[in-house]
Amino acid sequence: MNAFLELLTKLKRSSNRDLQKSYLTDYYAAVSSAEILYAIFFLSNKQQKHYIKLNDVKSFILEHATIKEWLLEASNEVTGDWAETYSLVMEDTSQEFISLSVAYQWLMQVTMLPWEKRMNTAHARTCHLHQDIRTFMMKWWMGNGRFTLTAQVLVQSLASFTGLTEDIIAQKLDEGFEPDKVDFKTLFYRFDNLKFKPVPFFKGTAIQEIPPLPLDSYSVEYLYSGKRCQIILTRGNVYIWTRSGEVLEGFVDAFQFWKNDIPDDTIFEGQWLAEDASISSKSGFSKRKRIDITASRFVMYDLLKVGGRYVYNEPYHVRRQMLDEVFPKQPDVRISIGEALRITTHADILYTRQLAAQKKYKGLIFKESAGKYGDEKGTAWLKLKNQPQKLMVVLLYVAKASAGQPYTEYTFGIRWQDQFLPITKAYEGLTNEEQRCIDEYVKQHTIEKFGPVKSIEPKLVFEISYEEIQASARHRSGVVLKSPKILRWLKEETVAAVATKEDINQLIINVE
Amino acid sequence: MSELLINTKNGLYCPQADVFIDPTGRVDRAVITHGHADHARPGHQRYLCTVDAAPVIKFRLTSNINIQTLPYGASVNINSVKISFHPAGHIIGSAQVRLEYKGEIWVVSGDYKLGSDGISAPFEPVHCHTFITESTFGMPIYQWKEQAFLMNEINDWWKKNQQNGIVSVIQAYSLGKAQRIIQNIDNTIGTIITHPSVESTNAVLRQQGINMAETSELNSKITKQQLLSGLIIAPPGTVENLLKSKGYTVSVAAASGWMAIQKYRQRGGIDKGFVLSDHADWNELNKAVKDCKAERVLVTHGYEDIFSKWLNEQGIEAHSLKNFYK
Ligand SMILES: [Zn+2]
Ligand SMILES: [Zn+2]
Repeated sequence: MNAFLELLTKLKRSSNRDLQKSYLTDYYAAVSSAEILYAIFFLSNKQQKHYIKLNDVKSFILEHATIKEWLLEASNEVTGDWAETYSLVMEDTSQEFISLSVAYQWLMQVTMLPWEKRMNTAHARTCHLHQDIRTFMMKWWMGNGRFTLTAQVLVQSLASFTGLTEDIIAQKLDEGFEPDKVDFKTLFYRFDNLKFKPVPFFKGTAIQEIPPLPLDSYSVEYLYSGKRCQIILTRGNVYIWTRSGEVLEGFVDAFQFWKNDIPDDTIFEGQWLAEDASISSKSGFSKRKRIDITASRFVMYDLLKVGGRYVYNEPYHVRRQMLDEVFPKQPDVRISIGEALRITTHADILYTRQLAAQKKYKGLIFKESAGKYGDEKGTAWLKLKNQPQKLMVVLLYVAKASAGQPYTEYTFGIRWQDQFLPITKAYEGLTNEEQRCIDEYVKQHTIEKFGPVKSIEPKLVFEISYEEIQASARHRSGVVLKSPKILRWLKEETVAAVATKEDINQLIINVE
Repeated sequence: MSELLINTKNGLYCPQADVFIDPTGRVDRAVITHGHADHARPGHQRYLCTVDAAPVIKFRLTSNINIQTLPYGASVNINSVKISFHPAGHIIGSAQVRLEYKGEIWVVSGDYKLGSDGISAPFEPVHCHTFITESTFGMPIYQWKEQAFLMNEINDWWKKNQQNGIVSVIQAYSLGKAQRIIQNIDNTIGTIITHPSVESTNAVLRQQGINMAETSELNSKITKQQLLSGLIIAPPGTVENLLKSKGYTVSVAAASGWMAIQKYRQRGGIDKGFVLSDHADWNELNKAVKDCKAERVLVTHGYEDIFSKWLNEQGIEAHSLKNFYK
């Protein structure tokens, strides 16, 4: 920590940037890479939060140093810094040094405490330390830790130390990091973590009714299923960000050769239409090699940044035009531009809704041609989801949350050859009376018990609804349903009416 | 009743004895606490100081001054005023001045410190009725560390520079701080190289019998190797630029009580500050006031208003010297 404090003093003493840079690079060369990380953390640290209140510091000193307030104030006039006044007045005979990492730990620990304990703990923790360290730490706690080093100086010094470009360093520092959770190498030399940030995803507004005609001021498109992504092409790298904040590692190759045609520093938005819903789990990409990524594809429908210039505030029709212009003439076959649908009549809407359902898309989206990406009201995008789909299924298992309660978890199945395959669970949609009848049926027709779960004779037929169906290698039925609900109990129907695996396959094959 | 000492434009004056203490203007008879330039000035008819302070004062002011000396504890009578010197612990030969007239005792502290520095006679508290104290560091933010700790800091800085091919320059006035560092530094690390003004003062002190570690004067005989491994002790601003212009990397340190304050440490021209002072810190000032058992304290030379207000709050009658005589 000694070296770091000396560095700080030197940096404060000189405003000459070249000199500051040389102090920094000398320092990097002299200390361990772990210490450098902590140093960078403090030097680039923008925190101005107050973790300890000035009043708590003052009353602590007044209580322990037996001086009066006027003398304390007069003392502070000399130093001009309460943290320093504190550490000078509360001078301790021992003058120990600690490492920067320990200082960091203690700094953080105090911030976790309730307010009333912080000052006492901070003092108890640090009173045996060298006065310069105590000043430094108290400054930080008091929200005065910000050190006004020009960001550029830090970036340039690190660039020359690491051999990386300033852009990359700036990006890494901008993301922030916790020096105790990462090492120098990982932070600076792992480019797969170099997460050039996406633009905040625009949510839009869900609507239930078809918007009134005419729709001249809108562009109508499919509301795709799959994963919404922003594809960032920058500095020779491709980053595919999902809306949930993951960076996808698969599919990057599809953009690899593409990026040569695109101006550097460009962000597209599009949808990844994955065939298999199980890919969408984070681990799916790295671990599940069996999944054929070529079976999925990307539909691009927006342009948010081009050649380093953000364009998300341009009207949508302008962005679409730009998208057409920058889009390569021969893209990878897996990448296409989303189509704009021609809608003039009410019948057109009904028809395209039907098409959307057939294509297994979520529905339609109406984008205001003059709208920005992300308007304040959120009405620049109106999302009309498909009407729920229906399926006839048979009840296979029941389970209850606790003994003495009625069954509340129902597992339904479809037919496959001469057996039944579970397809989904559902919880809602039955009346109390129906629940009681089922309880009665279970008593008579239980086949096996697995803990709280009972398998029953597959005779009861239900109609369920769902919003979306997706292929899934992880489910025996090969599909997962989104938002399944029990619509009704079809007491007249027999299992012959229950959907088969073939029926289900029909539902999912048609992804184009 | 008039006071034993009064404040005049020439400084503290004792009308009964017709002597001034550390006078600013030219006077007939001057009692000098120590050899620093703000205390020992040229141009007086007669000087009175300690035996140990005299050689340096002569050296600095010319040898033909009329100077009378007293050992610590001995006294002279001047028109019934008994005047004696007592160790102030500030630098070699520095003294508090005790004046006694008709049972009334005043002590003028001069500059002082309580901590032993290994080279000057340690401070002795002197009982008195009125104590005139300095207050250079009369604030609770000034609390010194042990000398041994500070010397270790200096040793470490020196060693580190040595390893990195950096020339170590420590700024110190030629009388006082320079000798304190020479005496206490670990001279097995390398050569102690002194600026000629420091070295000439050393010569005077050695001649009067002060034992001091070996030093080499900074001149053309000093080799590059000695410069890179040695510790240069020089008054501020005398050698740094010269060395830099010759292509050396130089680390400049300052040793002073002011180095306790970050903003002073961060001033240009200094790379490292050591909080090493020859003045009393907050605790020492308080202890000195207590130990002399004075009924009244007059505060000068520093934070006069603050320290006197503080003393009054502690139940000790105190005034700032300048207000007291208004
Ligand atoms: Zn002095
Ligand atoms: Zn002085």
